[in-house]
Amino acid sequence: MVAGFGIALVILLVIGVFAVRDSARLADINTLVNQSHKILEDSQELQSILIDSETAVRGFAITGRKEFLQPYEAADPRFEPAVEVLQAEITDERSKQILAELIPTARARRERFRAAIELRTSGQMTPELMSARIAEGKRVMDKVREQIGRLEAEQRALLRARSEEANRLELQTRVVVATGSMLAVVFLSLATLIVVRDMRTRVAAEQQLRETTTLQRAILNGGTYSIISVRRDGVIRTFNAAAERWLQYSAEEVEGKHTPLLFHDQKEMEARARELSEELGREITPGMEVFFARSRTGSADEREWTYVRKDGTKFPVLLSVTALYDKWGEVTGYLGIASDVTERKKAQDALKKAEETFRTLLQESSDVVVIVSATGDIQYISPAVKRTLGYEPESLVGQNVFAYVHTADLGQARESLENTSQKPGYAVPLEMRMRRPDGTYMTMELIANNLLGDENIRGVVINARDVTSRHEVENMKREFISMVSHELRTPLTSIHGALGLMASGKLGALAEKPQRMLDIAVKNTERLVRLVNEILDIEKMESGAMKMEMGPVDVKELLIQATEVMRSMAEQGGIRLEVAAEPLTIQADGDRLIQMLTNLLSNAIKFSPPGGSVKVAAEQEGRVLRMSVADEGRGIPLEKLETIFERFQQVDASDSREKGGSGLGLSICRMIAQRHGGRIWAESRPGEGSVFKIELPLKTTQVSEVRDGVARA
Amino acid sequence: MRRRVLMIDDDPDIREVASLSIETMAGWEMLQAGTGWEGIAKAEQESPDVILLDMMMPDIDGRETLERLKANPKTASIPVLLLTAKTGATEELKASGVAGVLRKPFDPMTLSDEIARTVGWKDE
Repeated sequence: MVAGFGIALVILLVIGVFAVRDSARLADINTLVNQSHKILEDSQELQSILIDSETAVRGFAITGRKEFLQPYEAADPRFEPAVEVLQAEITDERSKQILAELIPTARARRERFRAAIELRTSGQMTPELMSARIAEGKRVMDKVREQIGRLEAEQRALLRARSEEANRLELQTRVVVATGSMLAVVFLSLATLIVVRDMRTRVAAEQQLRETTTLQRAILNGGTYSIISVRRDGVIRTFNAAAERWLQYSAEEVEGKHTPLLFHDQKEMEARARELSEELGREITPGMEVFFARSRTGSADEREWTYVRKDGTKFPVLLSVTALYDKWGEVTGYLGIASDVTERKKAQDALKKAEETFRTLLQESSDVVVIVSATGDIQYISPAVKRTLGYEPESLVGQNVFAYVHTADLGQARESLENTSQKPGYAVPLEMRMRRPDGTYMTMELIANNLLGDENIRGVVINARDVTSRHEVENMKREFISMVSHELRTPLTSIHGALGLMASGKLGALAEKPQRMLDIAVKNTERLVRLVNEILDIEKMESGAMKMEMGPVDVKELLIQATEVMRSMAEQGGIRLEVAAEPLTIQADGDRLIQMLTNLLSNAIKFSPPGGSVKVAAEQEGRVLRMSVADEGRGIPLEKLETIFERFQQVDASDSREKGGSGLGLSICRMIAQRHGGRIWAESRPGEGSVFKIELPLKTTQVSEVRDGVARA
Repeated sequence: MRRRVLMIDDDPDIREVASLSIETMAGWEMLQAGTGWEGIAKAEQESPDVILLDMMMPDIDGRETLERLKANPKTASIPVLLLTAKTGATEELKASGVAGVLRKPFDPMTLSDEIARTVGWKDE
């Protein structure tokens, strides 16, 4: 814009200079033209003096009359002044030269006039002489004429040249003025345009500035940041609403009066000064420089600081200090923006604590936590593995977990991981033997959880627990039960025998009351013997000490044998026993199947009403042997159909007293069925009777034997 | 006057042995009940001097029977002795308003002495 106006001004100036110069030149030309006209006039004057003189002299010469000389006498005195005038007027070299030739010629002519007059006056003038002199005079006169003509021609030429120059100058001036004016107009217009546009921009900028100020004020007084600006010397210039609220100082209290050191922790600031001195390699004295040093390098300095409220309480802030510059790049002050990080710090601390807790938990837990890939590669293993198995955790990462599993458990382990990897969630706990560095094995219980889909884990998490001690405890418990039961049997045998003998009356008849007491004693002793035997059976089956003696068994024969055992009991209760069996052979432990069937029959008889019937049946169904024992008793409520197979669980708590059962019979039945790879369950309609059903595979499969093996392990 | 003992227990054998023991050793009269409900009814009708109550019974157990006996003004004042095969929790049982706790198995030779001592009968 300024340039536009400047250019226009310069153009106008140039035009002025040109115009002035040209007009001066024109004035010069004008003077010269006038001079040329004067020269022309004066040369004519000289010529006319000579012509007048000639005419007069000639008349005198012819007539001899003095009056003829009058024009000569008038003209001749003008001759020399005319010559002088011309000499003075003529400045150009060529005209001077012509004049220099002309003057002697003209003077010579004038001398001839004088001579002619003397001759005539003295009477020496003859006609011959006169005619000769006239011819001679004409020659000189022609020469004068010719020279004056040249002078005039020269001056005319000069005049032409000057008028041409004047024209040219005029044109040039016009062109310069016109072009310059146009350019000036163009630049002025441009400048004006720029000014207008500039004005508009400025108005818009001012508008924007006003808006920005509103925005700034909103930001300044928004509640989330304390914004404090300071001068170069650190004294507070502005102090926003959040700063007032957080620090409990009012803006009036601090603005222009204090530096932020007022609410900074002195010790923290000093510590930072030492730190900075080391970082920057120069001494930073405690004070505002601590806050400025880094921000002056151009980058914002952001770090945590402690703010101290007016009441002395403290809170942590994240403070960012930025240097403020003017447009010349000079630092004018600093801006400190702080956010309260109390909550963030709390959360961070909590997170840190949680992390530490979890790390400690993982480290101190007796469980080993392992994260493996779907193929069993160990991605992480917790430090507990050092205490349990004795490996350094780092040495296991990257190894395959199956390399540490006992060969006998490997198939099961692979199968389990494969199944677990299929779908998210927990797998069935597994026990397997893990190898120690010294080649011995530790039995561990492994619970796998598929977290392959979890972004943070991306693996199968296995919790491995040393169950050696649990096994030891369980074994001790079993051994104890086994021992106690055996020890109980010995005295029980004597008691049972002695009481039975007395109660039989073989040792002498007894009165009614002692007989009653003895009968009670015998009955309860038998109950106790049965209980001890059943506990022992269960213990044996659980520990795997009871071997199934597998062999071909005739199923029909089996049923007949079992009913024979129970015959007397059935007859006592008035119960009819019915057997329906196909001729079948099964691979099984016959004694155990009889134990199972007599147990079921005993129950059926106990719970049958007098005169009722109990049906025992066996049939083949595909590759399965199905047996059933059905009674017409009171039935079993639906919710008890499964629990009756648990230990010491009976349909009714009083059953053990009234019917003499131990509550272990059905548990034993289920164990026997399972040991044969089969199953047992009850179906019932309360009030109409119950059916106990058994399914056994006709040929014992490998699977059940493997399962037995694992159970023993 | 002949003392009367009500025994509430679901095992008839135990009732019979206890009955013979008390009648023979102390000469008291023994009343018997096989369930809690039956026991409550008999206690109301007969107003026995003491009640022997088994804890583990089908239907309503010893605890509930005890609560009902204590809630009934006709039976609330009758001292109740608990019979239990389980060990421990004696203090808790005593706090529930019973006169005492007797352990199973009991000794038939000293059962009546035990009852008299616990209830505080001096005349025997």
